Amino acid sequence: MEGLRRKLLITFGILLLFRLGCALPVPFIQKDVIGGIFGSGNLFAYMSMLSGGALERCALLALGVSPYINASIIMQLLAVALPSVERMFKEDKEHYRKTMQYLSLGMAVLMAVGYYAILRSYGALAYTQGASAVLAAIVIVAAFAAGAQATVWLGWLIDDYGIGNGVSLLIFAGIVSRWSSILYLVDAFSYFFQNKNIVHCIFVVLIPVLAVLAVYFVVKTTEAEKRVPVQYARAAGKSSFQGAGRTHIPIKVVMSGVLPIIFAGTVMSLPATIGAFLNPANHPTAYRLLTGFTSANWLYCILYVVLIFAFNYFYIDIQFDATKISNDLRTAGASIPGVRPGASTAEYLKKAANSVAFLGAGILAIVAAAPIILGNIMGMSIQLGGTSLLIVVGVALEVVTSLDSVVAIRHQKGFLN
Amino acid sequence: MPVIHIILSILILAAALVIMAGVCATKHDEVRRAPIGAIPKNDRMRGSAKTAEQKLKMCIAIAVALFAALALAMAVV
Repeated sequence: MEGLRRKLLITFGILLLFRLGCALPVPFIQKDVIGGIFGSGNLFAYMSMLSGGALERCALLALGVSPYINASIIMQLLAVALPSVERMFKEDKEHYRKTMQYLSLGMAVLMAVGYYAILRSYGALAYTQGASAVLAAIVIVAAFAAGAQATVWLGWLIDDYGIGNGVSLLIFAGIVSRWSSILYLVDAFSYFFQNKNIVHCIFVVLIPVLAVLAVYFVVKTTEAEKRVPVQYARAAGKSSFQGAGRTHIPIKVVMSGVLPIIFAGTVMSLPATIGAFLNPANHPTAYRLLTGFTSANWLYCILYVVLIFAFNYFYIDIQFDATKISNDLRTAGASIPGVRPGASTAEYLKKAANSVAFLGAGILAIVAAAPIILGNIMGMSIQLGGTSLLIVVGVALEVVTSLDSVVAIRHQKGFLN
Repeated sequence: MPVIHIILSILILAAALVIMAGVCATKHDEVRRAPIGAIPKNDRMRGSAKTAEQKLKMCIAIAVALFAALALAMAVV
């Protein structure tokens, strides 16, 4: 167990370093000025959630792994849209990986420049004129971009020497670190209790109960899968009659994970994000319309759910390669009982994936929209609760599986049995 | 801008450039990780001599530590 202990200690050590990096400030920024751009359901609030609040503090690791995730998503989408990128993905993994790393750096610089522009427009910079302003601008952009690269590097260190997927674990650590705000519930309860507001008191008490139920729901739905039966014609070391084995292809109900929610959330937050750049004195109507389109608006909720469904179908369509699975089955001498190998199998698998896609999208919509609706009723800002929960549960399950595989190698039996 | 801020800024820039270039040059494949407990192939072949990849990782580690220390120094002075 020495190896496992070492891996766990390294993982905790790197997570601690990451949190320290989230507290170190980028030079030449007066962070107290920019509090206004967060917490209004816009893109910055979402990015701040992923970075564990480092963006609000203008810390070195403020951009977190967002540029890397964006680069990864862009490359995946390009592999579907452009045949040359698809060829690179299938035949030249090294080139594909390299391109993604450079794209990640490009995204980091771009986001750093954008964030610098916002800081400038809010008057949060220490130097705004002359050569000092130029040097300060270069240092700020370089610090944010290098911070993003350093975060990815910390994630890779966890991949190599720790437990689980490093980048996912860093997002996990960022989200969980903000859950200390649950202590506000205690304050809220005592406030409502002193004011004899019994209805709100009951609501506050119900929140932890609902949170436990939500975690249970998300864990169960994350693990849920449709099993397509597969029949093998033969197995090594046995006669053809005895060796004909049965197994299954698991098709996850929530196959696309949290991505449809992230895509939908990003699109929905665009109006409020654009509105944050406008001067209300110059564009009063546009400012009111754009900044008013937040999660408190019912039209926002409806469009959000519609987009989650659309992105879920889109993502499954580009990720689930039924033709490849069908070809793999034929090569392995396997087939789905009652379905002819080849095109019929591919068609059958595609239908099976689409049949769970609707259910998966429904689950995602509930997880994403329920906190918004609940928040609107109670007048609290918990719109990112569902997204956080999906990410945290997904990463936690992945880490448990990794730990189990390490233990299984040592003892031939994992702690999950 | 005070002279100490200019010096620290230049050092932060240098560390940031090393990090950005170093991370781009690192070979990392999340999917095909080495099996648990396996010794990297290059280490077996070259004994205790450090490979270029290991030297690069060492450089990034030093640059990250410097980057953080300099940012802290900048916040203090």
